[in-house]
Amino acid sequence: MENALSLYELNRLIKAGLQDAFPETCWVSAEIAECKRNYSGHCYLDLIEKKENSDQLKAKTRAVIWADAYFPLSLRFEEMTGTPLGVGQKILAQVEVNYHELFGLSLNIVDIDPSYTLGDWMLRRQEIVRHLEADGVIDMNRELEWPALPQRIAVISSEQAAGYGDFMNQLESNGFAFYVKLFPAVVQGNGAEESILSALDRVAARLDDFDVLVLIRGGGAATDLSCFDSYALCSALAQFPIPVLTGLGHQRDQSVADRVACVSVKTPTAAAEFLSDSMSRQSELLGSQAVRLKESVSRLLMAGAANLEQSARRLDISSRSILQRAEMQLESLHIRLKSQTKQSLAAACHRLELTAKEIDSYSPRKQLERGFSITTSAGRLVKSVSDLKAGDELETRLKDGTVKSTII
Amino acid sequence: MKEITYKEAMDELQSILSWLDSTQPDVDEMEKKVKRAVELIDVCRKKLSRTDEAVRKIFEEMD
Repeated sequence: MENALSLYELNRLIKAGLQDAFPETCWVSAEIAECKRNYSGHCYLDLIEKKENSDQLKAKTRAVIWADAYFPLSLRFEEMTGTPLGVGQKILAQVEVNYHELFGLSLNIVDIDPSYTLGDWMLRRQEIVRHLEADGVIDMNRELEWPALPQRIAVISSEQAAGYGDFMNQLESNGFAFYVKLFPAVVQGNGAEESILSALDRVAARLDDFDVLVLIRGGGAATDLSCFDSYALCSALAQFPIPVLTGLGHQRDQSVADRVACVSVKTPTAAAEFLSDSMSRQSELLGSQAVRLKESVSRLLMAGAANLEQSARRLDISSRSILQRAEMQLESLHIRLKSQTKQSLAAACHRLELTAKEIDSYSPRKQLERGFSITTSAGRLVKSVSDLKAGDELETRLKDGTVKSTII
Repeated sequence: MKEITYKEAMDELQSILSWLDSTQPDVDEMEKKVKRAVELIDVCRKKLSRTDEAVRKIFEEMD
């Protein structure tokens, strides 16, 4: 046939047609299925679109980011999302539709809007959070009590990861006693989810030996952290029976794993600091209680001493008043003694006087005054006439004198 | 006798401190309690910073 086109001519026509159809760049949303950079720095991707709620592909096209565009574009993407461009991400890209006669159709990506990717993640995270909420498990680990001494530590990390080394160095630098057992796992990229889940199972098999579980990630360059937003992993973490501490090392927003963990910090080093801080708090508490103990004891001893002193003072005062009372009693006794002695003496004098008077009343003088007389003869008292004979001389004493007479 | 746990020691220490804060001092009793409290503080301090050989061994023997 004369009007048959050569392949080259056909491809040129396709190219011209496409240029007419897409004279300018356009924005297209797609998921990255492949993403490889070659030695010259160009980045080759496969963009896909899946059927809704299915893994079946609906569309697929090759794309490229030339080296000179890749550098600023990927830097901005990483700054905003915290991860580099990678497989599984949904992107919104500004593309030139290119057709090359030899290489066929390819989209030349000139810009990517990172907020679209962020938005997609946020939506996915929200969905998983909602799912965990509906399961009633989302706050289970957060509601566990963080132990006073988080000393026996199960670590899930990659053994070679810089983050694990940072964690161990930081932990050993504070002088507290920690017991660490590493449960090695792949913590980023492909297979991370299954690997971490299996490590969780191994820790769960010997729960009694551990106080806390620490989940830390490599550190260094940001990589694909989507496993920390996986439903299966986050559900297992949320329901893990001992407190989980995450230090996943990403800069931007929290992953769902951080959301469900009992405690979440930014880096492995921060995780070790958190553990040391828990111990420091207990150490300070102990110190302050030792001080309290000392204060209580000295306060009680002082109160005791004051009590004792008060008792001594009271004893002094009461003994003094007892003495004073005794003295007063003695004094009054003395006074009574004196007055009673005086009275007794007076009474005795009175009685003596009376007796004297009585005695006096019997005296001869009294008898003479009353008119009696006393007769003597030759010095003897005359009591009977028979004592007398004629011629005897009598002497008769009267009140006022003596009469001499002779018996005739 | 089972070794006292950190939490048990702290609880006992707390109760001694509240006893000291609330009670009229009975000096003989106080002496006993303070002695115990000092012991407890010592036990707790050791748990914080000194490796427990028994626990260390369990960790080393793990798979």
